[in-house]
Amino acid sequence: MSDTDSGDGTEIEEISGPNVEAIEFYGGRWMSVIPIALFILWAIVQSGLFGIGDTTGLVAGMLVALIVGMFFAKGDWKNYANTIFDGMTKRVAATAVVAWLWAGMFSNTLQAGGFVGGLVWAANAANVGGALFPAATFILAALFTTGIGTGYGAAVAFSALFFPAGILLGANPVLLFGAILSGAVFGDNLAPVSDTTIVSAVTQDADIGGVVASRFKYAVIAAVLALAAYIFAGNAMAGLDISQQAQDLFVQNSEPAGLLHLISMLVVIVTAVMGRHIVEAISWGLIVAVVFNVVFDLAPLSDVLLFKVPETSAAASWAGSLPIAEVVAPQNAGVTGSIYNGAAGFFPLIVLVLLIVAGSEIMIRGGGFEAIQEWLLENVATGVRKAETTMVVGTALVNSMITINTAAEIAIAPYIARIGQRYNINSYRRANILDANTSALGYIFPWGGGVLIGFATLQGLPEQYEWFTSAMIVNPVQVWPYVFHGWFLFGVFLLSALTGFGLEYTTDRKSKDVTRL
Amino acid sequence: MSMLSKFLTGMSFRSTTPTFEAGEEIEVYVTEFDEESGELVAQVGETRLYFENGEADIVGCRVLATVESFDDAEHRGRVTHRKTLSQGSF
Repeated sequence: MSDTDSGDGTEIEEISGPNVEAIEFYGGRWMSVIPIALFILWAIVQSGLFGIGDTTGLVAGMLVALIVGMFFAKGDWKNYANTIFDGMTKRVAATAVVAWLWAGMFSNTLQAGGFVGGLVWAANAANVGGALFPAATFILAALFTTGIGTGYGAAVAFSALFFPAGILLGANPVLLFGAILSGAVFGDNLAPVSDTTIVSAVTQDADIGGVVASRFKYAVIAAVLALAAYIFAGNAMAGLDISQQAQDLFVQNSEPAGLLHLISMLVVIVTAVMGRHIVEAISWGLIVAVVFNVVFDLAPLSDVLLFKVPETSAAASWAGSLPIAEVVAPQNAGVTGSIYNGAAGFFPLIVLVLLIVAGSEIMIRGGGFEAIQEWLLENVATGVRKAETTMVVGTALVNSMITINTAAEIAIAPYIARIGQRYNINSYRRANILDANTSALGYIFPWGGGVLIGFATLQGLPEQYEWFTSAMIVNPVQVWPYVFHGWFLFGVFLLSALTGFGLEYTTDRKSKDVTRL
Repeated sequence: MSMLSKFLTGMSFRSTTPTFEAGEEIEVYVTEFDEESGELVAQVGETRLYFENGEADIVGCRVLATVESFDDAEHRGRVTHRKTLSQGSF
């Protein structure tokens, strides 16, 4: 940007940006919403109706939607095609991509180091009984998710380890599953390395450290209420009468050393909140986690990074002696480890976010975005309280339909930004409304991605444990009233929107430059 | 801003009509071009700040402005545009 004289005595910076040539559509500007609308329809059918939680499937949906939209564009399709490129190269997409890659490496390295095992040990050491086990599960799942940033990962890990342990100790299964999902909501909402946290900050022009600090108050209020609810319900709702092998199961999964990764987690949280760039903050956390894994024998270096060298390679004779290499049959050659798997796990989501932002760009240049925004501002969000309520309910509604919460968040993010900016609502507040309701609703309803992932894990338990019967598996239809933290978080934000609690304006405080994340 | 204040800021119930002091320097999004008055407006909650200068093409941009005067009773103010800082994300 360069400073230019506006001619009226003030200094105005010239705004540079991409070529913003408008696209005309057959049927008017509303037709430019076709790519995004088709994608939402695809996502509802794929994940909500068919129950398929496959992110790459959504990528296919967005590709098809972009092709279909092209047939409704007037004139030379080159403009439509170039808009896809312009959307995919927007900074908002690129920053999310970078942050996801780092977050993926970190969370996978923590899991390799036995972080869950450490939490199981802590629950055992505290001698938690069946009535209090759901409350303890909520706390530990929240802690775990805040560390690794992925609620889906927590739903899998805790459904596999904590759920059977809790059943053996006499906890109510439905309540227990609800507590696991509640913990996932808490961490997904608060963790600086969470994909939803990153999207909420980046799309609302806010730094991640500031976003995490500013949302702490809402998260804690909802968590205290949820914890009280789990303690009360844990005493009121009876568990199953199975007590044998409880101690054995606990001992098997107890690895106190895994708790050392609380320090790795704190390194990331503290450095991010102190205002360091998220790439730097996670890099420090990753280095600490790798050092802990190796020094304290939590996981060998080969679990972090491993080259599987084919025996046909010229280097096969000496590569096998390296700590990060092993010689394998040619068909098994490749690279693996937590750094590799953590980054690779985000590849489908990265492609998806690039394509969705491209679809949004088409909607913006075609006028559809403006049409929807005008309708909302003239008919629904006609004051600051109503605007905030619209943002809360709108985000919740989209997330209750699209079960992969990050995808839903990306789709609604531009509206939260525009409606919020119309009333100069602070970027931290906008990011908090966006993320809290995304995190909450993604783990409540039976078709939610987080619920289905946990349910799929529960279905595998009868094969793992002789005593675990199919009747002990919690059906997703049963659990939705018991995801207390999700409901309380939604409630806190609805009340905040209606009363102005926590409301901050753009003029109240500045977010750090978004390029710092 | 201290780390503690980062956590505690916003722990209050906020009015829909924030007030400003003359001479205050603020960062604000320009929200609309008022056809009737022919002026740029930044709406902060339900408080309206009218620009004494600036071009219509900065609607939607985040700008640095100085508050020239403010009427507490009407929740209206006059501001001077100093510098355009950035466009919104979308």
